[in-house]
Amino acid sequence: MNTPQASPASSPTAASSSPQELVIDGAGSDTGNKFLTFTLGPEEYGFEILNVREIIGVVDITPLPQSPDYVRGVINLRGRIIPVMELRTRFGLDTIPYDEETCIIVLEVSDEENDEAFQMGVVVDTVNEVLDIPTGSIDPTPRFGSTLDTNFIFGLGKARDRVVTLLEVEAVLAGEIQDLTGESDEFADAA
Amino acid sequence: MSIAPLVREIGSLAAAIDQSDLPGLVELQEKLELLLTMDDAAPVESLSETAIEHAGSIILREAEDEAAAFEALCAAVDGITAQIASDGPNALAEEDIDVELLEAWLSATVDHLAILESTAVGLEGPGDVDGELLAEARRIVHTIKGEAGFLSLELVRVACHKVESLIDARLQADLAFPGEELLALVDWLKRCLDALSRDALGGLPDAGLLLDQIRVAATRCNVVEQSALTEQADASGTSSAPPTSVAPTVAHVRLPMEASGAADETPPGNHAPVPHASFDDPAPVTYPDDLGMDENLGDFIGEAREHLTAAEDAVLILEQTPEEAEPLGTVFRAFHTVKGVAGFMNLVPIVELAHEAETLLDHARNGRITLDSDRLDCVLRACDMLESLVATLEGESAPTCGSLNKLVFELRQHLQDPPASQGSAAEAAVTGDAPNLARNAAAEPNRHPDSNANANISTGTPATPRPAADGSTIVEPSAAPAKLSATGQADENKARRARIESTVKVSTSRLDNLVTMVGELVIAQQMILQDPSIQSLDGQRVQRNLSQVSKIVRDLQGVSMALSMVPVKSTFQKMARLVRDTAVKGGKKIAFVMEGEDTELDRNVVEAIGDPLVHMIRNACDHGIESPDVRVAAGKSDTGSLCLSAFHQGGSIVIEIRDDGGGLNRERILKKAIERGLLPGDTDPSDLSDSEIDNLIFQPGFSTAEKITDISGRGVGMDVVRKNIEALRGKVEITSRPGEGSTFSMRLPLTMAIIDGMVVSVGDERFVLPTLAIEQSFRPTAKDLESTMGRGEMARVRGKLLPIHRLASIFDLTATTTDLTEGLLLVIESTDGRFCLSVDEIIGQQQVVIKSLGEGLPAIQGVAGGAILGDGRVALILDVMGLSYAARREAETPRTPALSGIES
Repeated sequence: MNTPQASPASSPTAASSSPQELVIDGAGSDTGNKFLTFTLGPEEYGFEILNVREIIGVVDITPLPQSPDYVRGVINLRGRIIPVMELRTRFGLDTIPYDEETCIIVLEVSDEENDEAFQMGVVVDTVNEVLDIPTGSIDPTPRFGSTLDTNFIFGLGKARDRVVTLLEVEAVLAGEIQDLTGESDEFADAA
Repeated sequence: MSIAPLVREIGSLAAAIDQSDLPGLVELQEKLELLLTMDDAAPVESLSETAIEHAGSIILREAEDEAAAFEALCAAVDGITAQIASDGPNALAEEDIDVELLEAWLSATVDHLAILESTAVGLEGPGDVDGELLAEARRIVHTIKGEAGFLSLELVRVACHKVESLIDARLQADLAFPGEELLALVDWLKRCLDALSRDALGGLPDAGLLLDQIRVAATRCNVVEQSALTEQADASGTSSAPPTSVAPTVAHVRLPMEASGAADETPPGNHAPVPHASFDDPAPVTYPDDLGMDENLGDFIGEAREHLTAAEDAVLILEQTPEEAEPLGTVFRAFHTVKGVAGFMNLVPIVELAHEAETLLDHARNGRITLDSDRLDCVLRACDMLESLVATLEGESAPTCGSLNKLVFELRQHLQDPPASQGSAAEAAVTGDAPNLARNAAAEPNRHPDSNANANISTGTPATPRPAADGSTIVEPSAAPAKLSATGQADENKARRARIESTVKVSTSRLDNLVTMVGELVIAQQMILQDPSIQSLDGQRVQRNLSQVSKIVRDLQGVSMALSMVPVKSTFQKMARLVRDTAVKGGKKIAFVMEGEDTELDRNVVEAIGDPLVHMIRNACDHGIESPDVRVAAGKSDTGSLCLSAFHQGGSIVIEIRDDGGGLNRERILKKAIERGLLPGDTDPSDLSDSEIDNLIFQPGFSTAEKITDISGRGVGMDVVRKNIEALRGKVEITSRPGEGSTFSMRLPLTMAIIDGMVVSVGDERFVLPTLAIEQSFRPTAKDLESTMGRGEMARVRGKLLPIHRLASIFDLTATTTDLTEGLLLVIESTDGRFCLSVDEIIGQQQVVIKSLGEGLPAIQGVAGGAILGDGRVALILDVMGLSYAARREAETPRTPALSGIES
């Protein structure tokens, strides 16, 4: 496979501006502060619950050729074909074999241009719970310098005695779309 | 009250009268004076005064030249309407715009324009004017005009009206049909529709150019007409009469105007009764006998019923609250719409009755009369009569002409106010004829359809307007014998009943949903059938029931597919216009023929072939067909022929564009291709077969046109055509013979939703290939295989060496075996050439529902989509064109695994 790695430089600009907006949103409403948390190895992450459509167990995944390595393939979700992403690969972690704890979280973001909802599954180690994190308990992402890409992260939530990395759904998925588009443009040139 | 409705009335009145129609002129003058008294009349004041002056001079016989004065009068009236229209169609539209109605009008008018366009092109052709086409064109323009007037789209109404008069004038003067102007109108109307569908209250596009063009054409026409008149003197009487086929329309337009005009002026007592003979005419109402051709009839029947039911309900409300404006509007609209559509379909009796009822309601809307119970009763009876007239279309027995005439007469009587005098007038008319009516009523139940077969109120033959004592006109039964005997008519009715199917309108999203769900059902059913625990059941009953389910599901799938099929007609009709325009620009003569335009295709495919067709037709007109002198020099007729046809062939649809032009010039194509470096470097030009040379024109950047016209020649075109057609999973082919012409044929799948697929496997993965693309499959032996430079694998297929692409290496998969002789080779035919695709094995052939691989994901080269197979897993559907690109790209990278099949 000669696929380009997701590089910080190619990440969408939307990701850098949206955390701020979301915090403002969060101050206004309480429902926006519910997060579905899951683990990748020892670390705990969270997606805003409004973006989560459903959680399913691991099913047969048909690999997609000529796609970035973190795109696992496509699955049949009740007659609809949706792509599935390996979140571990996306974050540069080592993959582990699937077990019965492994889940696919189906995320949905609305595509405002086409007035359509875009669905995508992400593979995670385990799904934990739905957490209420008040805006006040969300810290901004610290700067790690060039060693760590923080574009996917919208904040660090403090709940009870632990810290949850809150993810920016659009950034996680949009980066995906971005990369694939770049890929296909390259094809078009070659053709 | 705004002046717009009055101006509209004045406009239509002026259009309907001529200089010798004194009562009409008087009425016009009165209306103009009324206009002057109104508040908003300031901008048109001077024009109105001019108009009044001219009208007065004609009436008082003071004018030196009546024709000129009348001309000036009409010009002034046109000025007034144009002024009001240009003051803002929006200002007019806003006050009584009805969005729902406007939408309905927009969609109806799109269809009308399409027909009008093709009709106009047809009429413009050489030879005598085709009466039927002409009547159709006039009908459409008239319908659009009427409906636009009703929607307060003043500018549209004025423009249509001008074109309508222009057509009449041209025909009366025996001149050529004004096709250019009509097409200009069509174009402008299209822009209007665009503008309106974007924003109902937004402005209409500027009509200045169009109106100028019509005015110039009209002046030219007048000059010729007048000189013709003076030269021919009396002899012109016959030649200036409109062609007979037009007569019914003219009668229908003029009749009501004059009748209502007379009714307003003549004191009720003096109102001469309509000849009673027409009341007891026992002949059934009949329609022109060419109706059967119209497939819209079924739609009309359904719609008319809906409208009439709505009208009836509204009348019942009106009976309780006569002053209410909304139900009145509903009734009015119902009659108006029925009239408009019926007029379009030439259902003369319906048009006539609906028109009378509409006039009555219009008076009520304007407050000139009040709707008392008598009038409402009359309106209700008009509803009933219309319903039975509509039912006649389905083969029910027709009401008599007498009863129809009587109702029309009563409706006219009711126009007068106050009701008391109207009552007496009607009474006078009715009581004076009491015995006659009674007889009529008695005669009605036992009609004798054959006793008076030639006394139809309106047959397809021309009706003669006969002036009655009071100046109103009655359409008299034609003297021509009716074409159908009573029994013949019964047969006809039966046939018609069989032809008409009732229809419902369904939104496309619901339709798509249904098709998707049926697709799901097919998958689910296959999953059940292939379930191991089901297959282990050996009860015969279970198997029988399962196969019954399969059959039903298959049928259901067929039905759901048929739902989204539409005829290619509308797309084809647009091409007629294109051919005409291109021919005119290029100074060529082209006869355009369409065949099989009723062939049905998936609605999405029909939409998508529009662009490729445009390119190909343009090319055929521009490059294919030679100019007249070249053709004559080559011994051919100076008129080229271009045939566009559609037909079924082997499970797909073929659309063919055939011209009898010069054919492709292979020498020049080859020369051009070499010049532009379109041939692969190692190709020897002399090796290319004729068809390979022909196919070079599909290369990007190819164009042989000596000079670039604005039509074609920029070298974008045919490659786009091929891309578009391939995107539809179709194919395009050329056959050409020098000097005899070329044929381009597009082969398209019947539907976009399902393909006939071959399921193949590579390693653990399965893929679906379109069966259409596979030429043959075979298991190669070692002697079939060759290689070059250790990488380029080839297979010998029927004496030809074809490159082998391994699906496993294109997609970076692990195949069960790397030995080619253990796998299978599929010979794939793509426009890019033939090649062999190596797979592990073929699993089977099955129809699959094509699905997108998730919205938002861009296309992957070589993959057309996904399909859900019987076991619920997703298989990728391959796109052969993309595969061959991907394969070549793959071959350029050095990672290609070394050959193993050949060594073994």
